[in-house]
Amino acid sequence: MTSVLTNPDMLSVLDRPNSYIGKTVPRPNLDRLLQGRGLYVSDLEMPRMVHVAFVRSPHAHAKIGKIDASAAKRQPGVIAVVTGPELAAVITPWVGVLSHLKGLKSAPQHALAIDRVCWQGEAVSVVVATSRAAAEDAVERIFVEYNELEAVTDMRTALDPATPVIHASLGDNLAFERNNVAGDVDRAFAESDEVIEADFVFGRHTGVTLEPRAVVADWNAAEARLTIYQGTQAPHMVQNIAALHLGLRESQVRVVCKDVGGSFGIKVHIYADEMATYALSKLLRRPVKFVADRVESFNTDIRARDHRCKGKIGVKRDGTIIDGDRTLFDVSENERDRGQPGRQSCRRALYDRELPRSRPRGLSEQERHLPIPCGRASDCVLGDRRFGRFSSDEDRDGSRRDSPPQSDR
Amino acid sequence: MDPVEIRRRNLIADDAYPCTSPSGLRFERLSHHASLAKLIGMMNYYALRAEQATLRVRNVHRGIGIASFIEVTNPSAAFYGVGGARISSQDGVAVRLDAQGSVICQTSITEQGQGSEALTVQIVASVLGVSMDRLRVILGDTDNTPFGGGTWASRGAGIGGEAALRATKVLRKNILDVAAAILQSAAAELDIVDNNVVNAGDGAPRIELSELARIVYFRPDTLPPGIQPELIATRHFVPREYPFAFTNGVQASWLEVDTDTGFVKLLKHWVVEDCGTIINPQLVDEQIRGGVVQGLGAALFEKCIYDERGQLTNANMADYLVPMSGEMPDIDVGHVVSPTLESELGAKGAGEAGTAGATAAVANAVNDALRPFGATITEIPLTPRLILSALGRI
Amino acid sequence: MTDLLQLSLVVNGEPVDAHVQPRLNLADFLREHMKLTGTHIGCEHGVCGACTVRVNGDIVRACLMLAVQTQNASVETIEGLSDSGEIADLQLAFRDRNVLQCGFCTPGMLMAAQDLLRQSPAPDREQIREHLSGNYCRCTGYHAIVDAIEATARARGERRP
Repeated sequence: MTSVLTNPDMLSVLDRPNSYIGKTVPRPNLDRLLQGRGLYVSDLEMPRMVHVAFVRSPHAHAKIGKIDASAAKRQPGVIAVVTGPELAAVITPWVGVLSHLKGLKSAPQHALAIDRVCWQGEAVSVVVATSRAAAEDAVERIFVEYNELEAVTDMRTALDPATPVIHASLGDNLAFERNNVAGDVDRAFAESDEVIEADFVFGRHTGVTLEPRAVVADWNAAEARLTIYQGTQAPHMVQNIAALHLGLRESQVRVVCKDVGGSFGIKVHIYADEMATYALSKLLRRPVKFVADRVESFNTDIRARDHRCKGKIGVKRDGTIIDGDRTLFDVSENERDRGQPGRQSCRRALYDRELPRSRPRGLSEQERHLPIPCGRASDCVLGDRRFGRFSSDEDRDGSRRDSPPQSDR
Repeated sequence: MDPVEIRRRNLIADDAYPCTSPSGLRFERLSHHASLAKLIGMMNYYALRAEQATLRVRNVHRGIGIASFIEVTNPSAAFYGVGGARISSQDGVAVRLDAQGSVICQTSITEQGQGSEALTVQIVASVLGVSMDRLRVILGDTDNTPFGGGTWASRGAGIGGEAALRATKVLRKNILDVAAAILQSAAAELDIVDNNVVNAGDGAPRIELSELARIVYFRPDTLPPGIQPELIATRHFVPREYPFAFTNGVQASWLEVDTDTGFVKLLKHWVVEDCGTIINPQLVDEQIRGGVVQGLGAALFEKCIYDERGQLTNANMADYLVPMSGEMPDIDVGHVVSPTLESELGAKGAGEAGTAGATAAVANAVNDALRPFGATITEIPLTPRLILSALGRI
Repeated sequence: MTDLLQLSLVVNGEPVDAHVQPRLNLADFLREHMKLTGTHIGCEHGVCGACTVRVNGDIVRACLMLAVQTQNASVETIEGLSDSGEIADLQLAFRDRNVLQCGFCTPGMLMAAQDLLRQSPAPDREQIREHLSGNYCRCTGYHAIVDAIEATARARGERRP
């Protein structure tokens, strides 16, 4: 094809001849995935590689007493059984906050829990063995004394004075609060023809990536270099944080991502069991593989949603919305992104309309569940559901609906 | 009032941009009205309303739900960096021409199947003027890529793609500078088309890229004096003008509620989405479809059920219900295109748009179907138990 | 420790002899002993379909079968179906229609799709969706998968004499 271009540099790249931009072309390099010849972390094998299985707390909140691993250590194939204090000598704890979210609080997290577990599924010990099956056999022979403490599981009462405070050093169970007020909200409600309120409840869900989280950490003692094979969305972040907490220079850590069996935000965060795996490789001076099984994945992957939202909108007869007031409660714990859903939906509340008067409020609370940072579209809490309320005359009485407490909550 | 009408009266006008929300968020350009109009056409909205009315008389309860949404994409440091998080908001791409004419691209964005490798190849090939099969992309390796953020929050195309574009423009210029020296021409009179350096004017091929590379790498002694060819270029990109590139879209759900069982059958779903410049239409549409089904799962099936002691009681795939093919509808996708002016590529993100509105569309559709019963549900997932409770049947 | 059992079977046309623990499931046997990692593990409780393989011509969940249950059986994995060319047209359709994103469900999907087309050469979209309901995909939302299988069925129909 000939090109007749007077000055190709002046043309936008989108107008270049034979441009692929805007074209549907097949993705390159799909053959290996179509043939079952991809390389997912769970497929990776290395010489002298060992496998881990974690001893996980069955309690949402408990003090950790004695850990008796004597029988486990005698199991065939077991290389080591490691607890929190031992691993703490190799990897330092971390705190997940964003300093620009004023007031956002989080407690330090360890690779393996020390003294206390704060969520059901939190790892208190780990078995390293020649196969995952052997490691799991040994896990069954580890006996942990737990002193069960009260769990805080209902966001509606988490801030009540009678409710135990989970992290005493933080003072209360409020992780983050943000208020936004624009204009004279109360007057606008008074001027509305109709005021409609509703309570919205959003169930908690999780990503369920078909390939669960998996990592192979390879500390090469002779090179003093750690190579992490992980299906992470942000390898430089993992490199940065692993180096920081393992006492390594940035250039001593390499993160490699080959094929990833789905992520959707699940695999863009720092997980204690993955940090434990990096630390174990350094401790044992050999490659260590961790592949979460499906039950483990459900119990430990980050969550999304789990919000309760009170919404109130003032409407004129002609259908225009002139006012809004929202209080959003969301449950978050321990991770960098907590506070983001509350903050983002607070800021983006009532996005559609240039509402001069609005009062969104977001509260993020500490609860005894898993970390909830962001998943796919994590900040789209409300979407557009409130509009369903205004669509007919029957809705005009502004009936208020309290969500009944769910027995399956 | 019809749900479409109430939206027409409240959505920000398409010509009202740029504008700032009361909470301080800046919108460069959205297309709520154009998207809504397109959606109504695609789904034949008024025909569905008529069908709904006819079926209602026969006690068949179908509902239409509409949900317009915005989604944050291409986040700059305003998302995390400003808070001290150690995740980068900029990305970089290095492109080079190797000795046999292959083009190697190293990019700091990552691939989980959305098409990061594909978008890089398509952009580099287009900007440079080579065929896609000449390209190889290296990603997901901190030893072998520029330092970057990766792929999350719908930023791969908008940020990584722009970095690829900029790096390739530099490489193209460097190649043409060498070509000009070899061909005793001026760089402005040359272009690269179809793996060849050509005359910009008449398109006549002058030298194949592989031949140019051979000369540069193996016979630099034959080049005119004073030339130091540089057949590799790296550029990074981070949004500076807008902390986030907001996209918009609108979704619709058409479903049927069985008022005896509380079961919901999803009949059809539509999305109109505006993510700016589209690099590969099929990949964008497939990202949207995948996101929609995640939203449909949240609307109807998915819930982590904890007991009062904080125990997750449904930690397996038999009890935590994920959407499977038999329960999912076909999904029609259309687009409006409002490119961002922040980059030459003009691409915003698209990965999360599908999830953003799908749940709301379904919730609105269920409530629409239940309107004759005066029932309203404001909780998801919309389980049969919730629906039957709202209907007063249990 | 339980004694190992002797196991003889054919995998992708190749005779195999092994000694395995009775509790070893077929998926783990294929992945760990045979190093055929195309058969993926997504749940280990028979729901997701990522481990789908063919045993004596029928598709099964390899995670729900013990390796020792395949004594004298013929097992075919995605690698075998791929190398024989049996699903070449399906793979091409999958590629062109972008039916795979992360690729983790793809081997299982291809096995299930081929199983469907062998039984029902001209399925409609609902039948396709029904047959694939045992294969979880989180990336695509299924629409593209149905498109590709429908197109392949049509093309096979046109090629048939």
